[in-house]
Amino acid sequence: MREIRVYGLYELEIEAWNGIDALMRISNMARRAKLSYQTLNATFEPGKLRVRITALGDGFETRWLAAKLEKMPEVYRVEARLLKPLEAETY
Amino acid sequence: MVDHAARVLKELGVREVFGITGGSIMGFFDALALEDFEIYMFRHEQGAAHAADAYGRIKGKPGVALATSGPGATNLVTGIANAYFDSAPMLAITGQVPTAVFGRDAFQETDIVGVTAPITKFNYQIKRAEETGPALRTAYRLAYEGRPGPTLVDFPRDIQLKHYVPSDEHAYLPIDFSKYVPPKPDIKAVRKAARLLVSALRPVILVGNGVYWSGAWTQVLRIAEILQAPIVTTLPGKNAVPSDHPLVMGPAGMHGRLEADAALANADVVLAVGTRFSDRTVGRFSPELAEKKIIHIDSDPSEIGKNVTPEVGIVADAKAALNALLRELPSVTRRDSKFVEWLLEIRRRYEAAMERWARRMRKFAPWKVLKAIREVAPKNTIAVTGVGSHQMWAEQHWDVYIPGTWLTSAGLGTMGFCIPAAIGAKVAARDRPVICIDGDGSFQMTMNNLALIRDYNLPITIVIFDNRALMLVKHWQIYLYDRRIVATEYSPRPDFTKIAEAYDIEAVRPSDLGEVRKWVDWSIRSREPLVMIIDIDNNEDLVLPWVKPGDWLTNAVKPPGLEDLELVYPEAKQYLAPIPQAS
Repeated sequence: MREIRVYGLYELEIEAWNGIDALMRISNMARRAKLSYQTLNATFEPGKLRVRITALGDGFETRWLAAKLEKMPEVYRVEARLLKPLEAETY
Repeated sequence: MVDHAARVLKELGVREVFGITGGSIMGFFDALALEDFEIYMFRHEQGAAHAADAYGRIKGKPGVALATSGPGATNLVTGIANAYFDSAPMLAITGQVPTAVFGRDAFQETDIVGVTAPITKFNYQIKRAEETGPALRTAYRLAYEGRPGPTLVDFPRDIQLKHYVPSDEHAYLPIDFSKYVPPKPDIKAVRKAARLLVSALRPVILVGNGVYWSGAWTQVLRIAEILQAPIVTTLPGKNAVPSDHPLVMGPAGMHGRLEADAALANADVVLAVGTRFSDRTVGRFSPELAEKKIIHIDSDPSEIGKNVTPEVGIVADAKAALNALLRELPSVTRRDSKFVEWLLEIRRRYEAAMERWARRMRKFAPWKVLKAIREVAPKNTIAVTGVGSHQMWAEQHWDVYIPGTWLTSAGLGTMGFCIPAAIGAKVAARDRPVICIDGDGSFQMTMNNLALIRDYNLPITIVIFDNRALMLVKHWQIYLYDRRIVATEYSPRPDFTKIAEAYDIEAVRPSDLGEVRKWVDWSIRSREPLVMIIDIDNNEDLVLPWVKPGDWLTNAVKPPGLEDLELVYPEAKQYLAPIPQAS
């Protein structure tokens, strides 16, 4: 578990249910992560919400947010990926 | 529609609800009454929420709190947040203005779904009649499935009053419940954890309340016995292991016991189970804690590595993970018992010093009162606390003999928790004694709910540690604010005996520990409610030991007479980083 934490630009892709209420709850959770948000796009389809977030920050913090989102009942799927490493630090 | 909602709750096994009615929820109350629900009418919605929280912790299934829209709903918020931070199962159902006037600032309209989004495991606003059954079943199930937590269903008035005959109704909203089944423990990680524990010099087990929810205390005790490893707990984790087991050192942390602080501080390997590693438990995260090898077991993956980076992280149900660990450990290990003996010697000196300190006190010594009550209270007594110095004394000195008999507001630290939570606990367990260990400040925040004690025949024993101060804050003012006492001392008003009498409850003000024992024994045996006021001197009521915020456990401010007591294990000294001086 002692690991290299990569600072960089991350992308989170989220699929959820319950429309704008789910987007609000996802945003509430995202506010608690120590990330600097760059973009947030949401698409509403019948029965499905798709959210794409890009954020600058630590890989560990991104994984923490992904784990929190994944545990939300209305969230079906979360994927987090590093788009661009900007700096690497060993903790 | 409300008749269907009431029947759904009944099918789920709900028989009792806590709350206050109002214009936007009265139809649902009416339907509940027609279905013979027991409705406990609180005097403030916060109390209803705390009662539902405590009921859920005792029953292991959600307590239900009801409130009308607007202020009724917002008054629930503190109680919902409390349940969220202590992972307690509860379901809140709020009335809402009719959908036609949503967003128009209608009378008593509040967006309670928006307000409670960050403090609920799940919340949902019903917008169509056919969603009512699925929403209630989903919210009820989510409150206890996996890591427990509060859920909320918002119920607009026009939907409540709609004529609706269910046919082909979905059981649940489209939720994937399988995600709440914890994964099986990773066997490679379990084997690595076993190797670390067997080779450790001073392994220590840190127990959080996740151990209680998982029912894993037998496994914890067995592993401790095999390893001869001391067990320390978090404040809520005190609920999970019996205090009288020889390896249980008690709670560690800001107001932990000295032997527990010493155990955790001198461990080289920490097996942490069902805990989020609160700063209140460990003092600070670095450098000392970061140097230890930590094995962290939790059913919630977001807790692993959140505050400390473990050597081994195991995402699994605590009981399953500990059973797997037991299979990998030898049945007996040979281990030097010197570390445990050293901790027990700290305990002996600590207890002796507390005895000497008690003899010098002008009024009651709070910990002596707790020990006296414990002598006469049956082992299965449910102890509930408020928040304040009395809670910290109880953390240190109240013995929990049976897991699941300790209810406290740990994460949120909600003053006012005790009276309504004790009421909720008593409703959940009418055959067991319930003692509310409260402080005068905490008591005054929800004392209006005393009315329910006679109304519903709920004989709880209330002990008010009355120092007429917000003592934990005054404590910080003394130590950290150069003794500037600001807004922490109360006047002698009100007279608590008169408050108790107003609610038709016996009130006593004992003059010695013999009277304390006598009255508590009377209250429990005769099943009569009691308010017992314990006079405490707020110039003496400093809860020690105490670890200053951000400080390390071995730097605890100790009780008088223990200034020379060393909390760094002699054989560990050479491995430890230099300890900063306490400021």
